[in-house]
Amino acid sequence: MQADPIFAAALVLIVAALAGEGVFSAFGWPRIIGYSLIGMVTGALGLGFNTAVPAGNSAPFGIVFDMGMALLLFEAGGRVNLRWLRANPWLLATSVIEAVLTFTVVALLIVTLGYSATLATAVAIICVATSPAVVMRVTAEFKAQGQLSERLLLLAALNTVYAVVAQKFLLGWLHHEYGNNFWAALLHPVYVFGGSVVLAFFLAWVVALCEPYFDLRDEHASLLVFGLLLLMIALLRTFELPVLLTPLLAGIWLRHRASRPLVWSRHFGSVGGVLVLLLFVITAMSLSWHHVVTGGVVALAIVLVRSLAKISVLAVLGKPSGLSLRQSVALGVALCPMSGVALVLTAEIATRYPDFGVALGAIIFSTIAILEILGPLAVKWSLKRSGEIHNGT
Amino acid sequence: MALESFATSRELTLGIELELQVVGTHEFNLTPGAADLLRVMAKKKLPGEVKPEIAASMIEISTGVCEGYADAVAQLQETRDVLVEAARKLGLGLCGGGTHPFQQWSEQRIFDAPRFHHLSALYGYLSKQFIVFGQHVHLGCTDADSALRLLHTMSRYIPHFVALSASSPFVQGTDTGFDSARLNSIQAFPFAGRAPFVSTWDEFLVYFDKMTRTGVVEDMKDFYWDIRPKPEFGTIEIRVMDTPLTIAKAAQLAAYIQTVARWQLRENTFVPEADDYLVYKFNRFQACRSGFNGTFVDPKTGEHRSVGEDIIATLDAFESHAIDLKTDTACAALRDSVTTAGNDAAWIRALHKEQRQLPEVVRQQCLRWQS
Repeated sequence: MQADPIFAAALVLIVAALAGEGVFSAFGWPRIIGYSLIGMVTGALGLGFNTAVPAGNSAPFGIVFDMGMALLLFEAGGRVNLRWLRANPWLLATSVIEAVLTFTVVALLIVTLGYSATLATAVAIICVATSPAVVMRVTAEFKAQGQLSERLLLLAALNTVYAVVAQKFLLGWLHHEYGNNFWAALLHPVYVFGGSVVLAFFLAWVVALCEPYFDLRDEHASLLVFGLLLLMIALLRTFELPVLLTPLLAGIWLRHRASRPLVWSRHFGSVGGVLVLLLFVITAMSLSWHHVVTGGVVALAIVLVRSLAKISVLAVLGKPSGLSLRQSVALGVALCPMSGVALVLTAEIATRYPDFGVALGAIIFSTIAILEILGPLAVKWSLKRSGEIHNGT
Repeated sequence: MALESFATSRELTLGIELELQVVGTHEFNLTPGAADLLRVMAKKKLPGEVKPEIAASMIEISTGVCEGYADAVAQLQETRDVLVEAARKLGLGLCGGGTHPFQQWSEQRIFDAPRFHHLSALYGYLSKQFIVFGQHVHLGCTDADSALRLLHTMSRYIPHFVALSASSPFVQGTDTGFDSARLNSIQAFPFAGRAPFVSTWDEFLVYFDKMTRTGVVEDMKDFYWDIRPKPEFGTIEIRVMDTPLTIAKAAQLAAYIQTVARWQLRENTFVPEADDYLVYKFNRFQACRSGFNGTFVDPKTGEHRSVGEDIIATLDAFESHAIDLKTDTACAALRDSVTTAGNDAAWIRALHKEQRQLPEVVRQQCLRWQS
C-alpha cells in the first residue's frame, strides 16, 4: 500500500498519541508503550515507512530519527557524572562488570543455539546497551527522583558507550572477515573514532563557548542546541560517520569539562520532547516483521539471560556501592530496555553486510520488539518499588 | 498530657542542630536522598546524631552536649565529614542555606515515617512550604525558672541571631528581597511566634495545661516558637537561625549565643519585661527583611539604630565574657561579617549576580559546606 506520506504520518502520530494516552489511563503504563505498539502495527501493515532506519538520507523519517537520537544521546551524555564514578569505584565496577557479563552470557547463549561466533559477538555487543531513551522517558514521565533514577541514567549511558564503541571494533572485524581487507579492518575503526571524537569535542566546545550567554532553560538556548546538533548530523553524514557516538561523547565531555552545572530544559524544550517521543514510533515502525517472527524464541531466551546477568551483577555489587538489596535488584531489572540504539547498531551492520544483517536483524529486532513493551514496564515497576515515583502519578 | 519536669543541665553548655539540604549533583535541585544517606552511614560512630526530617530531601545533624566553641567546631566537623563522605558515594550534594533557592514545593516528598505523614496530613501544603532549613541552638540551664528568665532575655537578641545567620534570600527561583525568607514560611503555622511572657515555671505549667486542655496542642513540639524550653534536656532552644553555609558559621553563632547568655546571667544589664515584646515582631521583621541594615528598636529606650550597630554594641559590651569563654575568635569573625563581609544572604546574592544561574549558586554552597 502506498499512502500519501504526510497523511499517513499524520494518522500514525494521532493514533500513537491516543494509544499512549490510552495505555496510560487504562493501566498506568508508560505512554511510550502505546507509541511503540502503534509503530509496530504500522510497520507490520507496511505503511511505507519501514525504510526510515537504516537512516538513509532520503528516508522520510531519517532526519527526524537522527535528530531525536542526537538530542537524546547528547542529553544522556550530560548525565554521566565521571566525578561520581571516581568517588564511588564500586559504581564503575558495577557498570563494567554488568556490561562484560551481559556480553558473555548472551554470546554463550547464541553460540549454544548453534549460530556462528561472529553473529554471537554482534548480538552480544548490541545487547550490552540499555536504552537511554526508555530510561529517560519513563523517569521523566513519572517524575522519578532518587538514587535508582540517577544510577539508571548513568549506567544506561555508560553501557551505551561500551556497546557503540565495541560495535565499531566489530565492524572492523567484519571488514576483515568479509572483505578480507586488513587495512580497512584496521583503519575503519580508527577513522570512526577519530572523526567522532573530533566532532564531539568541536560540538562541546561550541556549546561551552555560547552557554554563558544563554538561559539554558528557555527556548532560545534550545534553538542553539538544535542548530548545532543539526550541523553535527550534516557533518557526520558528510564524513560517513555514525550518528550515535558523537552526541553522547559531546554530552559527557561538556559535563566533565567544567563543574558548573548545565541545566537544560528536558529534551531541550517541547520540540525536542516530541522528537524523542517520535523515536519510539519510528523505532517500532522500522522493525521488520518478517525478522521479528523468525527470531522470536531466541529473543525470548536473550531477554531472559540478559536480564538475569544484569540483575545478578547488581544484586552482588549494589550493596558495596551504597544501595539496599531491594534497590539493587530493582536497578538490575530496570536495565533491561532496548530500543533505538540497538536498532541503529543493527542497521549500521546490516547496510554494510546485508547477508549477515538478515540473521542479526532477526534476533535483535525480535528482542527489541519484546523489550519495547516489557522494558518501560520494568523501569516503571523498579522505580515504583524503590519509592522513587510519587503516589499521585 | 502533663509537661515533664525540667531536667537540670550544666549552665551554658551548648547543643547544635542543623537541618541540611540534600541536593542532586546534576541540577542541584533538592532530591529525596535522606533515606539513602542514613543507610550508608548507619554504622558510623558519631559525636552526635543524624536524623531524618519531614522532607525526604532534608537531613538533620546534631551535636552532643558541647562545652564551648572549640568543642562545637570539632563535633560538627566530625559529623560533617562522615556525612559528606556518604553523600559523595551516593552522588549527592549537601549544603547549608535557610531555603533551597529554586526548588518547587509541590515536587517535594515527605519522608516515609508515621510522624511526618501525620504532620503532612494535618498541615496540608504548609508542610511542603515548610521545607526550609534552620539551625537550632540549645543552651543548658540549671533550673526551670532561670531557663524562662533567660528565654525572655534572649528574645531581645533574636534580631541579631536572624541577621547573623540569614542565608535564605531566594525562594522558588526568585529573590525575595529578604535576607531570611525562611522565617516567613514558619510564620504561617498556628503556634509560631514567641513564648508567653511568664517568668516562673509554675506559671508556665498553668499556661501549658490550659493549652493542652483545649486539645489544640499535645506537647512542647507543637509550639513552633522562636525560643522554647526543652524540659527533658534542661535547655532553652533558640530556633530562629537559618542554617548557615558553613559549619564554622554555625559554631560561631552558637558561641555568640553562649556569650550573650553568660554576659546577661552575670551582669543582668537587660531585665526582661512584658512590654519588651511590643517591638519584638517589628525588630524580627526588620532583621529578616534587611539583615544588618534592618532597623532595631531598643525595647527599653525606644531608640532606633540598625541591627548591625546593635550587634557591634553587644560585641563590645560582652568582650570580657567572650575571652573567658574562649569565644573571642568566633565573635571576631561575626564582627567582621557585620562590618565588612556581610552575612550568607549577601554572599548568595553576590554569587548569583556574578554567575546568574541558581544551580551554580547551590553547587558553590555545597563546596562551602564541605570546606
